[in-house]
Parts: sequence; C-alpha cells; structure tokens
Amino acid sequence: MDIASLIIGALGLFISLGGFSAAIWQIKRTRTAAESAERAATAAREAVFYVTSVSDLTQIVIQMEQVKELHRNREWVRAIDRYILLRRLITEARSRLPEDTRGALTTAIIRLTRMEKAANQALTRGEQTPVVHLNNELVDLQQSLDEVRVAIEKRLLDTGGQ
Amino acid sequence: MTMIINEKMTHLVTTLVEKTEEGKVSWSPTVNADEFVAGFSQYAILIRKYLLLDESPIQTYFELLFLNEDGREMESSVSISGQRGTQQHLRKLFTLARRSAYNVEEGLVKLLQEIESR
Repeated sequence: MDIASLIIGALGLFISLGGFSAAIWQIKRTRTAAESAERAATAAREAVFYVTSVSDLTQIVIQMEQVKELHRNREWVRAIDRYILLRRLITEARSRLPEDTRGALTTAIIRLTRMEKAANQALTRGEQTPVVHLNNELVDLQQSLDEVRVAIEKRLLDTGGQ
Repeated sequence: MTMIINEKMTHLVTTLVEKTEEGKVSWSPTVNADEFVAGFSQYAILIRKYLLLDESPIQTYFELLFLNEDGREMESSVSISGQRGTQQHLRKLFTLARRSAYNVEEGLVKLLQEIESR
C-alpha cells in the first residue's frame, strides 16, 4: 500500500512537472511569436515610410527643375514661393527617414534658405545673383537628393530580403 | 550660462575639426561664396569667411553659425582679430570645410593620375 501510494505520488509529481514545463514552453513560444510579429510590423511600417520618402524625393527633384525655369525667366516672386514649398516638402520627407539619413536633407534645407535669401536680394535690392549660379546650386541639390533616394531604395531592398 | 555655451561652442569647433579631418563630417557649399554647411539629423553648422575691405591691410574673419533644422540661427561664434585662438581654430575649420565641400583630395588624386599617365 505504501509503495503504491509512493508510486502514485511520484507519478502525480512527474505529471505536474511535465505540465508545468509544457506551460513554460508555451509561454516562451507565444512571446517569441509576439516578438516576431512586432518586428514584422515595424519592418512593414518602415517600408511604407521608405516608399513614401522615395516618392517624395522624386517629386522634389522634379519641382527643382521647374524652379530652374523660373530663375531663367527672372520670376523671383514665384521662385521664392517654390523655395518655401520645397523646404516644406523636404522637411516632411526628412521626418519619415531614420536619423542616420537625415543630415543630407537638413543640408538641402539650409542651402535652400540661403538661395531664398539671395533671390530676395535680387528681387528687393536688384542685386545681381547670376541665374547660372542659382541653377548650378539646384543641380547640386538634385544630385544630393538623388543619392539619398538611391540609399533609401537600397535599404528597402535589403529589408525586403530579410 | 554664457560661459557654458561659449565653452561648448569652442568644444564644438575642435570636435568638428577632428571629425572633418577623419572624413566623418562632410560639408557642402552654398550659393554664397566662401560659405559651407554641414547638416545633421536636427541641426546644422554653417561656416563663412568675411573680408573687411575697408581695413588696411584687409582683415579676414570667420563666423560659425549653429542652426536649427529650419535654418534659424541659434548661436554663433565669430573670430575677431586679436583673438588668435578662435581665429586659428575657425580658419582651420573653414579650410577643412572648403576641401570637404569641393572634394579637393579626390580631385588632386585624379589630376595627379592623369598627369602621371602622360
């Protein structure tokens, strides 16, 4: 009788330990699945930001082409309006990017503020700001924004590959 | 407070010199001659050179601007003739910024390769 009780007790303990281990294993599995789901959601969110940023930067480069035409025609008031728009677009694009890629867009914003000041001086004081000089500056900016766009596309591809 | 900010600005200049020399900070030209900008995630630094033409001899001085992400000036540091330390640091930073902005080193390498291949 004592031996039977012992065996039953041991069996019960064994079953309890087994059940407890199974519960711990299940919790771990659930947590791992939840973490994977969170990582996937973050990656999806980043991918959306990246795609939007690529589209934004493409639009900004096109807008800059139009500003060059305004410079050539000496339409300073419209050009200044476009600078303000461009700065706003770049600021919005920058807010969607990871921190390590924002520097180039901050530089672009500052360069546009300097151009806006030069265009204002051309408008109000009749100071000579060579159109060629301003358009060369825009060419430079277009190139730098294109480089950012290519870097984001590469990151998008790399993220999609994981 | 002013002392702390001045010290931090001095430290900023020496750090920018170091990081620009290492190639870890890069500069771009602006539409204005003798003016260069380095952008970061939330701030930017602009350095420019001025000539005081009505002085004899003509004086050069340098200005460093600490800008927020919208280009608004938050703080500045100006070298004034007589403040040799500041003048030297800013002059050095200006030279490094110019070389970074115009890719002088890369240009020289390519030019030398072309000349030596003749």
